[in-house]
Amino acid sequence: MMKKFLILPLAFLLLANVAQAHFLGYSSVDDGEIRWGGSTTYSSQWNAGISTWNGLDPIDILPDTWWTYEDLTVSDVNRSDVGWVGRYINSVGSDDIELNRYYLDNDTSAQKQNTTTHELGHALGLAHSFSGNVMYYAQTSQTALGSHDISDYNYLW
Amino acid sequence: MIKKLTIIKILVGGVVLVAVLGIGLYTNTIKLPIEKEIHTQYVADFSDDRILMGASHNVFVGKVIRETGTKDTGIVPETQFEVEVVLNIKGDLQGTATINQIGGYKDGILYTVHGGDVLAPNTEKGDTLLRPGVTYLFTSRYNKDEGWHTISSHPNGRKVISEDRELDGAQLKDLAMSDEKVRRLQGAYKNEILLEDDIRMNNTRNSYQSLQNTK
Repeated sequence: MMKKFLILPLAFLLLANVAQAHFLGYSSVDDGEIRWGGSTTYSSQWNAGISTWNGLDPIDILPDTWWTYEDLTVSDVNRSDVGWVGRYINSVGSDDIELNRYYLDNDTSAQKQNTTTHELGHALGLAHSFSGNVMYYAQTSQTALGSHDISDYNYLW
Repeated sequence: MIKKLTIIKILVGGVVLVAVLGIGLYTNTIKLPIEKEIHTQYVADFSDDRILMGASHNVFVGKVIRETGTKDTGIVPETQFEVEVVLNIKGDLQGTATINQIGGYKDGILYTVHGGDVLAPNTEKGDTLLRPGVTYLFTSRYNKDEGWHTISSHPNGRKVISEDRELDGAQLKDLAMSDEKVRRLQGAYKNEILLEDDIRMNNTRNSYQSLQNTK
């Protein structure tokens, strides 16, 4: 009887956690890692975004090599007729991240890094989250992961 | 001999089948039950009407007449529609206009945009392709090179005004003018917040302030 009293609140907490989690239902992760290729003008912010996510375990985001399969391709576009700064595309074969130079070229370094980190979060399977997190749906200057970013990552991986 | 003929028939049949399938997928006449998602990060918080209005070049109500084409922009297809303008909220489109929706079919696979505010309703469903005969509220940005208006996929940037194909232009205009969201955006126009990048690039088409200065 005592066990039931313990299990029920635990199950409730678990369900509440799942209900607040934000996942895509797919990702670019292949065998515990994401191998990326392509190039971007914003390489320092791209690499900073990778370092941010690599600070968490267990998924590694690494450059593609001759001996690995490319899971993710990054590229720049210049579109003035859209309202997005970056986008993640769940493609056939390697997935894609596109960064929009129309907005990013004059952004601060922190804004650029927010976008690269955000799109890499999608590649890790995370969906949009609340304000105060990198996975918030609109661009901000936040570069460090928020509490929901970390809990979503830890729950998923 | 019979066996040889049978084998040849099977081989020819197989080649024809593969060719038909390939052409069908390439031309998108065959639509596979596969959907690929595009997740966008927006430049600003478009759930704020003033920002949505400022970031849009045109805001209008229009009835979708027909799909006119698909353009492959590299990774993601984009679909064009002919739209009959019913009511202008920002800008002054007349008659029909070509609008461009990000997403559509490529090699038989449907690509749709997802990614609004997690707290907004219907965010999970993603941006479904426009349906001919339906009248929508659109927010768009002009593409000078293509001559079309790319519509926003943000959940706050679109609304179905009427699914009734039989209503005429005057009836649709009455319906639009009494719509609460249309009125809200009309009110937000004079308080619109322009995007800094648009100001810098001189790309604030139909901004409230610029039209007041010309009067």
